[in-house]
Amino acid sequence: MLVEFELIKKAQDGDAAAFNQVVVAYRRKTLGTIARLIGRPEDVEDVAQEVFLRLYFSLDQLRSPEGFEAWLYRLTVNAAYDHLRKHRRRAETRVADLSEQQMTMADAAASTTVDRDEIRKRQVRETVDELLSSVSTEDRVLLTLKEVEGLSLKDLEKVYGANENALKVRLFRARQRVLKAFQGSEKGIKTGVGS
Amino acid sequence: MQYEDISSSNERLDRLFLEYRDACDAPELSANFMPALWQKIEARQSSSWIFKKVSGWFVAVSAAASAVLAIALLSTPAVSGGNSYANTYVDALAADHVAEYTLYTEPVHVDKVADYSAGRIIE
Repeated sequence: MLVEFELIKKAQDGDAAAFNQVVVAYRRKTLGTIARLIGRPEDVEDVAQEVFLRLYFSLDQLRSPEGFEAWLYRLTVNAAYDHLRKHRRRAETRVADLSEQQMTMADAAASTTVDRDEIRKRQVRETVDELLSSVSTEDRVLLTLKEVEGLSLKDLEKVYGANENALKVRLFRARQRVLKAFQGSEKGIKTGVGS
Repeated sequence: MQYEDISSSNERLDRLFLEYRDACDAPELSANFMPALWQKIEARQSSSWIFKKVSGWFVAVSAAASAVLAIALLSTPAVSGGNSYANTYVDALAADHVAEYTLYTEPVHVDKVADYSAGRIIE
């Protein structure tokens, strides 16, 4: 826990200063989780504000301060779901609107202003985003929490309130689908389809 | 051979996930983060306050209307013949035909009718 239970209790009772302290303590961690869940740095802050907004109005429903972190994870996961669902619809139209020439020009312009490391990071984000689009939004978030965020099955059990075995099955299936897509993309690169 | 291929793909996928973790580091917080958050909280609080106010007003109005209706129903005298359920069918029928008996109380007079075709008066 990053804060004392007392502080959470005070925030639950409507103490604005206590709530402020809770946000300050958890905002960096929450921003990191959101960044990994949605993979779009430009939207992270908006989603984080939505998470803390939901936290403010739902804090009174939290039964015990011990469950605060799992509660915050749950809110983060739900806000990420909402964002990803919206983004999925927008992404389909946005990419379709750009011609190949426009894409090449945009990449060239980027390479002059952004350093190589940043380009590599963007490529990794886009590759993983593409791979994760082969599974549902729910499975994408679950898989990211396990594989990228590094949550254990016990942690996931608390966040989802679901049986460990059911989560294992879902994770296995989602991973298999992503692996298949990954192998497909590797083959495409080798044979020159993806290049 | 195929197993090795899957195993190495799994390892490469794990490495890609690790690389993704590094590529998705948390962005720097803008100075506006907390003020913007409190603005959103206050905006939602005021909208929910208006909603509560309006819904409270509706509840009060509907409660008052129910009370008025209840008073109106209680103060209205019961419909006549409230004990009509206790009456028998014959009583009800008799009550319904009272008008017929009272209309024809006089004896019927047979007047003289002129039979013009025969040229005489029939008694």
